[in-house]
Amino acid sequence: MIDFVQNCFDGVMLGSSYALLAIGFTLIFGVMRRLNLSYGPSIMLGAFVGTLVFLEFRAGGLAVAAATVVGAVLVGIYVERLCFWAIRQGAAVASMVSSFAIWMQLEEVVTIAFPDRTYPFPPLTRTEPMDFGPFFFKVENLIMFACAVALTLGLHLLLYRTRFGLRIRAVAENPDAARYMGINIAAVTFLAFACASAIGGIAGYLIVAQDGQITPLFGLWATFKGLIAMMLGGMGSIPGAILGGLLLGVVEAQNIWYLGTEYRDLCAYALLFVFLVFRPGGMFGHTLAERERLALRRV
Amino acid sequence: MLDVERLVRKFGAVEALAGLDLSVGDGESVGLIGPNGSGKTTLFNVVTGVYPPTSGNVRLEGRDIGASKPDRIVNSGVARTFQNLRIFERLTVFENVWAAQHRRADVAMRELVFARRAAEHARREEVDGLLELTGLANRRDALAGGLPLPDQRRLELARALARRPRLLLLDEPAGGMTPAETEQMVRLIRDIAIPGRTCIVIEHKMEMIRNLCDRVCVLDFGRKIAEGAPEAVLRDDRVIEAYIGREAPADA
Repeated sequence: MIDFVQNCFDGVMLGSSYALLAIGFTLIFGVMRRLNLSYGPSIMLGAFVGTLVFLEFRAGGLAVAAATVVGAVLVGIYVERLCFWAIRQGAAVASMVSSFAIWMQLEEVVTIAFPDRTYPFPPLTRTEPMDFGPFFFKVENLIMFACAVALTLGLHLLLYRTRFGLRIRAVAENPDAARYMGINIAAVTFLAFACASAIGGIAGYLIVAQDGQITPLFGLWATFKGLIAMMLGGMGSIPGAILGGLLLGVVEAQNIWYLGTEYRDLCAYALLFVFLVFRPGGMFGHTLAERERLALRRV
Repeated sequence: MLDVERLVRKFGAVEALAGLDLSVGDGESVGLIGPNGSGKTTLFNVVTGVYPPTSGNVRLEGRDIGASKPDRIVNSGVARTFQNLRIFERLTVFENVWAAQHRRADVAMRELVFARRAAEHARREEVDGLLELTGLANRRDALAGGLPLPDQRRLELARALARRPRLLLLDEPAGGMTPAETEQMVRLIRDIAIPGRTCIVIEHKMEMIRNLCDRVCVLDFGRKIAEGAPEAVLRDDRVIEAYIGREAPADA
């Protein structure tokens, strides 16, 4: 029982990083109704910028974090201009395919620029784990969890308390009507994309710092974890992204403990499959009827 | 205010607008009537930049807007409502109007630096004022998607007014309403929408046109077939034929 509870704690903390990735995904999907597959790779490239700053200047944690976030945002903007701004309305599939092409492109760039593949990344902290009765917590996990909570709250305030957030929600809800209300859709989309990339950059930094190393494969990993967590929660829903991330984290943590690390990703895909079959809209997603109505309105 | 000259808009082989001329003066309120498919909504769509004209001119306050995009046009003082409503269903009533509120470029910089809070407060008060005027104040925090149709139509009106338009285009503002609700809508438009601005109203309910408009313009097959004071035009044989000949004036 203690193991099970400990796994839940670990899972929630692991899941908080998935939740952040999923929030970035869902923010982009919510505003544009398009999937940005190169979300993970753009974070990966940001992390390599962080590594570069670390290796070249022996920079400390904060500078590396800043470099990672700035890198992720810049690459994110590049992706937005190329896949989403250049390919306009009504071409959702073209956007998705081109985001896949850019994914490959980003991986190539990294492989050429960083030929050794695996590079060190400064850890968040070297503090020993803390004990609470029978349970123990890694400090970097707690930091990650705290960051996830703070970012989620910040995003909530942005979306529900500011005019910019209102514009994001209006565009997500009905882009056509938003245009008639004088909302500049391209600008809102651009800024929402930048926000999502910044959240992804922070999440990426926290995850990579915990691993202590970065490889080009991180892009694939981040896209899949974020995508699965988002699908579990319901595409376009922020509470869904959080819950989906946490659920994925807890299931993985239990799985690692009871079945072994090698089954970790298999079980993530199995969970996704179960949801796709039995609840394709995710936990917070639209029901099928609602989605059909939305689809009709967008025609 | 608005000058439309020899406006043609084709969809494939169909001419939705076939050389329409229409001139609307400052502060005038003009009714647009005609059978379904006569080009009324297409005119609104061309004027707001949804479709570019196939040929002909559209001038707003003397400036040619034929090739402008909707965002440019709605930011130069044109607002509209829709026959098929386009409200933000999952935003509250207040947020719907708040999102639509016009950005006043002249004060934006000062706001940003100094009176940000005060300015935002004033804007929120303006939104609440509009909700009060349109009788939606008690539904302020309800999700707009859950409102009954008449409330949704009034919300669209409030939202359009929040844009502070000089030209307001109303597309069947009382569509689907009962006579009592229609009467309330007429009062609302007469009291708060028309004063101080130019209005064009598409409507099938003749009573409404009589009550609201200085002038009425009848479209048929994308052309103007009659124009003038409501009383005179509504007795015109061609108008009666256009309606009765193919289709009675729908009251729905």
